[in-house]
Amino acid sequence: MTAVLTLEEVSYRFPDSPSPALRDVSLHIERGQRIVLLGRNGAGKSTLLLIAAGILRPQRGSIRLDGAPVVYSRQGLRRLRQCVGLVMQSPDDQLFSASVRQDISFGPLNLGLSAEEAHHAVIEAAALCDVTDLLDRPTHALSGGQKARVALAGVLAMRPRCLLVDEATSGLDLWARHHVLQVFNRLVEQETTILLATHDLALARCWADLVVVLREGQIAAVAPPAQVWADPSLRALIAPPEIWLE
Amino acid sequence: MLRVIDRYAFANRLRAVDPAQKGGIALGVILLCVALDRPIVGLMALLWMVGMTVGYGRIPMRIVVTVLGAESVFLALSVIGLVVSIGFEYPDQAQLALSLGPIWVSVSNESLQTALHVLSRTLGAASALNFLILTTPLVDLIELLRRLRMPALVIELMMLTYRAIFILLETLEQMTVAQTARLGYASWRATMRSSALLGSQLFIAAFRRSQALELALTARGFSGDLRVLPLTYVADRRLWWIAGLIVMSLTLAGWLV
Repeated sequence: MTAVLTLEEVSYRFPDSPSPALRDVSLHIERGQRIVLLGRNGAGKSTLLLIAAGILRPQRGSIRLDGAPVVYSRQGLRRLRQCVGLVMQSPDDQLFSASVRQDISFGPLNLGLSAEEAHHAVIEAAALCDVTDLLDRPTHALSGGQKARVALAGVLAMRPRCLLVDEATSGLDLWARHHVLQVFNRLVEQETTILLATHDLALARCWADLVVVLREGQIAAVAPPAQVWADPSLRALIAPPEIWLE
Repeated sequence: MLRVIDRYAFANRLRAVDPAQKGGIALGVILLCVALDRPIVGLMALLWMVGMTVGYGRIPMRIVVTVLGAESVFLALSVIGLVVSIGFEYPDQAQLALSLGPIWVSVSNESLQTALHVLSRTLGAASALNFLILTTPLVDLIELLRRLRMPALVIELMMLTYRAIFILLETLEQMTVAQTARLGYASWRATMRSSALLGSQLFIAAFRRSQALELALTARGFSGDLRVLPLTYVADRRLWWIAGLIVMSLTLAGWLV
C-alpha cells in the first residue's frame, strides 16, 4: 500500500504547557485505511490531527505527504490541505456562513476552483453526505446531526484523499451517527483514508482496520482492533476495566 | 423575536425572489412616506405593506402584528413626547390641560397633528421595512450588499456576526439553564451575581469559539478572504405590477388628498 501521510518522530509542546502534547510520534497512514485514534483526554489525539492537517507545525520531526516532506509555505500548505481534510469536533466551530450552500463552497473556492467547478463540488459533496435538501437552509437552523453532515460536506467538497475527523460522531444520536459512518464507508470505497479520533469503543472495534493507542503524547500501539482488545495493558490505556466488562 | 423573524424570512412565499426587487419596493415605499408628508400616505402604505406581507408573502398576520407592535412601543414613547407639553404656565392654545401642582401638562391641536403625521409616516415606513425583513433572510440582504459593491470586509463581518449571534444565543441559553438549575436566579443577589458571571463567561465562550473557527477556516484553506458562492434568485413579475400599483396609489393620495 502507498503511504499518503507519514509522521516521522513528531514532537509538539503547547506554549505554557509543562509537558509535550506529542513526543516522537511516528505513523504511516496508508491509502484507503480506516484508522481510529484512541486514548484518554489529553493523550494527544487532537494535537496529532492538527499537526497532520498542517494547522500546527511540529517543533521536531517532519510530515511527508506522498513521500515528500511538507513545506510550510502558502503553496505547500495549500497542497497539504487539498489532500488532507480536517473535520472539527463541534460543527458549530466549523460552520461560519449563513447558508449551507455558501459554507460548503468555501473550501473549493479557496482551492482556486472557478464558481462553476465549486458549484459542482458543492453538489457532489452534498449528495455524498445526504444534505442536498439542506443546501438553501440557514446553518443555524440545522439539527446536530445535520450540522455534522454539513460540516463533513464542507471538507469533502475539497476532495481530500485523507480525512482527519476529531470526535465528529460524539454527541450524535444513533441515526445521525449511522449516517456519518455511511459517508465514511462510501469514502473508504473511493480509496479515501480516514483517521478518526474517538472515545467510541464499539465503533473502533467494528469499523477500524487499525487502532492507534495514544498515551501521554506517545504512541503506545498501532494494531488491528482485535489485537488491541486482546491485550490487557493496552485496554487499560483506553478505558477502565469496568467498561470492558460491559 | 429575532428567531421568529429569521424563521419566517427563510420560509415564506417570496423567499426565492431577488432581494434587490424586494429591497427596491421597500425603499420606494419608505421614500414616498417621507417625501409625501400626508397621514393618508403613511396609513395607505401601512395597509399595502401589511397586505403584501400577509397576502403575498404568506406570513401569518399575528407575526406581522407582533413585529409591528414591538416597534410601536418605541414609536408610542416618541409620540407621547410630541403630543404632551409640560410647563409652569397655563397653555393658552391647549385642547386639554391638567395641573399637577405648579406644573401644567397639556395637549394642543397642533401637537396632535404633528404626532399623527409622524405616527402615520413612521408606521408606513416601518411596515415597508417589515415586509423586507420578514420575506428576506439576512443572508440574502448580505448578498444584495455584496452586489451593491459593499466592501468585502464589511460583508465578511456581517456574515460572521450573523452566524455568531445564533451560536452565542444558544450558549447563553445553555449557561442560563445551568445557572438556574443551581439556584443561580433564586434571589435578587444571586441574579445579579449570575448575570455578571454569565456576561464574562459568554465573552470567554465567544473568544474560544472564534479561535476554533479560525482553526477550522485555516484547515479549509482560508487565506484572508471568506469567499463563498453567490446565491441565485428569481424575478417576480407580478410583484413588480403590485409595486407599480402601490407607488401610483401612494403618489395619487399624496397629491389629491
